[in-house]
Amino acid sequence: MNPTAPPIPESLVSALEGQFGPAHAWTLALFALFVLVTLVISIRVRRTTRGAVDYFAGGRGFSSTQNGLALTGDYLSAASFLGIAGMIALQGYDGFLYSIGFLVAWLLVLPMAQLMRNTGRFTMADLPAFRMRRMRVRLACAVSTVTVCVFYLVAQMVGAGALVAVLLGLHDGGSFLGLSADQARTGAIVLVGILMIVYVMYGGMKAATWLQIIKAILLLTVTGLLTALVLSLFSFDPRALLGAAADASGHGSAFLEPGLRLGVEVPGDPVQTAFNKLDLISLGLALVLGTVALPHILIRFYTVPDGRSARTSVNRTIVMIGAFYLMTLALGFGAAALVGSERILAADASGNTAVPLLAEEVGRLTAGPVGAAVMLALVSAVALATILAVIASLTLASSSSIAHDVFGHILMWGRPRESQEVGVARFSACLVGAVAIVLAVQAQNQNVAFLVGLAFAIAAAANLPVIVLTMFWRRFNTQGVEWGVYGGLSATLVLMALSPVVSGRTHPVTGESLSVLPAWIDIQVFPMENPALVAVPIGFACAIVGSLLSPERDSARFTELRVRSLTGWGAEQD
Amino acid sequence: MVEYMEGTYRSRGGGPGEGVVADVTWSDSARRRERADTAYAWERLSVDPRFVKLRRRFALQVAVLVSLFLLSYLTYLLLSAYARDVMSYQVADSVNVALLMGIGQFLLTFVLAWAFGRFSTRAIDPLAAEIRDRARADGTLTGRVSRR
Repeated sequence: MNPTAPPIPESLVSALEGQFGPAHAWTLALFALFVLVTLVISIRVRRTTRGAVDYFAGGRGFSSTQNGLALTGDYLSAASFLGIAGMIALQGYDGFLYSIGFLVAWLLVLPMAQLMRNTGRFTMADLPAFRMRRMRVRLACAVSTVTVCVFYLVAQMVGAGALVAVLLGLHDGGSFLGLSADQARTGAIVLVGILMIVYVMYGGMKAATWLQIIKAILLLTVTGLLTALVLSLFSFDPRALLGAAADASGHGSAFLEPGLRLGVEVPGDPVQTAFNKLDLISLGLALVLGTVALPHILIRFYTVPDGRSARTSVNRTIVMIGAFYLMTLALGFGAAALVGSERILAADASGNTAVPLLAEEVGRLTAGPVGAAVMLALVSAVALATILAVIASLTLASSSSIAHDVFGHILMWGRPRESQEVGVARFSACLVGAVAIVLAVQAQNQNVAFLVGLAFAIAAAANLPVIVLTMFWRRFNTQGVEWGVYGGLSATLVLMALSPVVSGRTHPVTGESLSVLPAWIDIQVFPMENPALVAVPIGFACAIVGSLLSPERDSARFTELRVRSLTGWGAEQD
Repeated sequence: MVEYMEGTYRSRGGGPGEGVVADVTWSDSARRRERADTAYAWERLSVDPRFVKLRRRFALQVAVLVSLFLLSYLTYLLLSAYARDVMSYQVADSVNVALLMGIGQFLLTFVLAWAFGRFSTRAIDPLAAEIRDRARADGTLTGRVSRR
């Protein structure tokens, strides 16, 4: 605690811990302003959205800085903003491990960006479809794209509901305009879902890109402001911040070392310890390998004019994301030092409210109650905007895949009219959005944090082998793509279903279930929470074996793909 | 602007029912010949010394990037999992090795990304542009994606 802070009056303990107040009203007003501005932009860009290239790829006219910002916006979900800082605040150093994985992953995206831009058109499936039998590979890629997107979407939307309930002060039996916490949560999920459908249906990629750009700027600004304020309270001495965080956490110096949450050493149980450590490695691999193959990131590379801008935009993204994750370090440790783990845990057990609580505390310490309300409102509105922007991009990625791959190339045999394809994309955005809303409302009381990890693991196990082998292996063929996608996808899902996340983990004292299923169902066989370490090799092995078992090969097309991907010949003509 | 890349190549003009059978066979063989010509042109381009140089440079660049990345990241992960003593060594009061290595990962990422971009701009892009110009002058390759 800062020694110069005045004693806090009881009535001002925290807006987050009380009933609806001015801070909440400001949050809603700021969020409404954000929605209004982005909707106006959507309406403006709608005028220039005519054909499929405009709808799916934003007319390929964005600059590398714009696309870099949009990629930053796409990538920094609420899991990054609230989740990682919360994890650092509660478990110290281990949260930082996520930040590192999320950032260094972009080094693998860097070489892929220009290859993707030079060979694809609208979706990930364009890549293998270039050199293989189109329909079967497109179906496989569409299946994995939609699966990844829907899991990610549900996690984000449930997060939005939980966040709104906490932000409105409803989590402990309060009420807002006569709504209970459950009703407000459902309302928030439905509202956010409808907004995302509106952006995607109406404005397509251009609207989604501007939404991301504005959100990224807001997010970076607010995080920067908050970081500066936190550091100023410790007279810009990071060591003082770290020391205060370690002292306040109750873990001492262990708080600043790995091992409180990931790779936990269980005394007297060497087997469990070994699995925990493998789990840490598995998580690290999933974060790094999944990022390269996330469908909503991949389609961003089609929005720039050429391969070179795609690569430059990744460079810009790395700078911005790196700066952001360094700042989350200050936010997390700041929350541990200034707010304290009891209050964070009391507001939300997973630590997702650490940053809003920190904003409030920092605002109060610098500018009194008014500062507290302003900071809380700013941070909460940005968090909501973050969720909204990310789910809009996910919806766009899956509806593009349904329209371009399934409708355009499977149902219409590769000869749809452009207007038909765009129309189907709008319709499927609505469909995917509706499915996601229903699933999220159903799952709102579950702990769905694992779904983000699952989405990354599926991307790493099912999409990555296909992308890498298509680019670099001459012998790769249609059956290889199918085996890779379906094998990687089902391996990840099965391993997840058999993992302690789904069943078999109980609270040692109360016997309550800590998994998704109730305590009496125990199908846990696989000992790790993150399946990537096993699933990714399975995905690659399936892809390779599948290829070798099929006689199909097309060397000429591979040569063409390779020349195109490296030189960019033909890519600028469309 | 290509009207609609995949698919334009075959149907668009003559719908079903147009043309006689003999005509179809003729266009079939013509199409096969055209495809063979295109494939030959791509093959020739791919063994062009400049393209081979481009490919080598790109492979080298990616190999260096990926191996440095894997080396540093896996070292970091393995140390975090199995060498907790090293990681918890305190360098200056509350700053320990784990934190420094984490920040080091960030710095290395920035440096590698910058170096990759710089090398690409200097050694890859001009070569690729040269090959594109040559292909454009050649004229056999239209840049369109032809479909079987």
